[in-house]
Amino acid sequence: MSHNGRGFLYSVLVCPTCKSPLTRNDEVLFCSKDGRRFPILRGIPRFVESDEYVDSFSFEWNTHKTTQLDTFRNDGSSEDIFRKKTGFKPEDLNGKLVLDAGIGAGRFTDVMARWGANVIGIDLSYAVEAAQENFRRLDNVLVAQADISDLPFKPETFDAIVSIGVLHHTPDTKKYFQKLVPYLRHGGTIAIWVYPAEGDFVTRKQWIPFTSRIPDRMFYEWCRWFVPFAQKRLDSLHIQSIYRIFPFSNQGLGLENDILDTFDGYSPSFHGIHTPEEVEGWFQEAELVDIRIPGPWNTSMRGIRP
Amino acid sequence: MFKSIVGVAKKLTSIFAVSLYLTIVASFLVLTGRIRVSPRGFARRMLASLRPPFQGDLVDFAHERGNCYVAPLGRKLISDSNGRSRLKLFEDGRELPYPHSSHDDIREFGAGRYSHWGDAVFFSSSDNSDPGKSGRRYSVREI
Repeated sequence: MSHNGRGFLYSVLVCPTCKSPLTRNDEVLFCSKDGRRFPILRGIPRFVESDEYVDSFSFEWNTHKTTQLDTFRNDGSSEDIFRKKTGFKPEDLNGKLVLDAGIGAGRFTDVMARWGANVIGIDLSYAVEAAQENFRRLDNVLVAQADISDLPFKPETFDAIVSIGVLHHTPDTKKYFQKLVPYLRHGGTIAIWVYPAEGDFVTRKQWIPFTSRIPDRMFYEWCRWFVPFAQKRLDSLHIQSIYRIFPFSNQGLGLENDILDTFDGYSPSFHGIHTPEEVEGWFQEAELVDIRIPGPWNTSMRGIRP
Repeated sequence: MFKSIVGVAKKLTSIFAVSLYLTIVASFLVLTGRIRVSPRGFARRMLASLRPPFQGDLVDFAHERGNCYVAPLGRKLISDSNGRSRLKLFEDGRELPYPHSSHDDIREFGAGRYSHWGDAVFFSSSDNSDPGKSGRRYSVREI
């Protein structure tokens, strides 16, 4: 079968439980072995029944569908981050089958699709609705709603796996990283970035048990008010004092990005922080080789499955 | 009309409620030491807000590297090394455009980038000329 097109990407999907091929019948994927049925709703195969602990992501990515996508921003900011966090170049991924584990609205799938990769983007949250809207016209992208702990793929399927800024939002960062590795082909590369155990990330972790309980809409409205208010007064000593206790986003990528990023930093249920040594240890334990930090972020790491 | 007034009132109430909740949580996190705040830094910021803003001319420029020059301030202020500087740098009375720049960017690109770091200002002139020879006046003012 050709290594291209939506048909090929659908053929990669299997039953998460028994790993048998799935038969497509209209808007349902059917496993003939164990009888499980997986609906295709609004063009998205669904392998989970709800967004479980990631409802804040369902909210934020459907509110900010295009804020971080280069295609809509008309810049290369996400591509720049992608290159630095993964070390991938276009020629590394062109024509390759890639898993984007935690696609969100598709910030990095947008980059990989442009580079000619065949991307399957999965997400536990309803962010998949936003991603599907962004990529419905692309034949080299398939979006599915699935859980990293129960993926609908056979082992050794992907040429590359990327998961940038996702695994620390699962209940156990290391465990969920380990779940991804078997889906990598021998010779394939996995690249991840997780929150570092330093600076603002440490401060935010203290807030999470409290801020994640605020209803998403309420907290988002607050961020929409507070972030522009604070950014206009960055030179104020009071705002500087607040920043030390409650670091808000000021990434230089525009106000909408900073509102989104502040909400994103405080609303999730899980907020793991990790040292570079810890992340390197996971890669070594998974028996990956050529392990390295590809850029300036010391908890971005990549390795090859030998 | 009535609906929109109710909508705005709801939004304001929601923002106020979240602000109040976050203030209580912040107090709890600071008082229990979960978030560490340096009492010295806090006192320095409070004192800085009480005294009149500093202003003066830069003299004694020294070439650092590339387009970057350094001038001592002769005054201990909150700088980008221990907080966020409130210092603005002016070239012949015109404000230079890029405060809080990284020192590498000042060295490499110049073009008016500057940083208030410790007790000195690391800066570049608007056209990357040598400020010691250009005859231009460089002054700073705290906002």
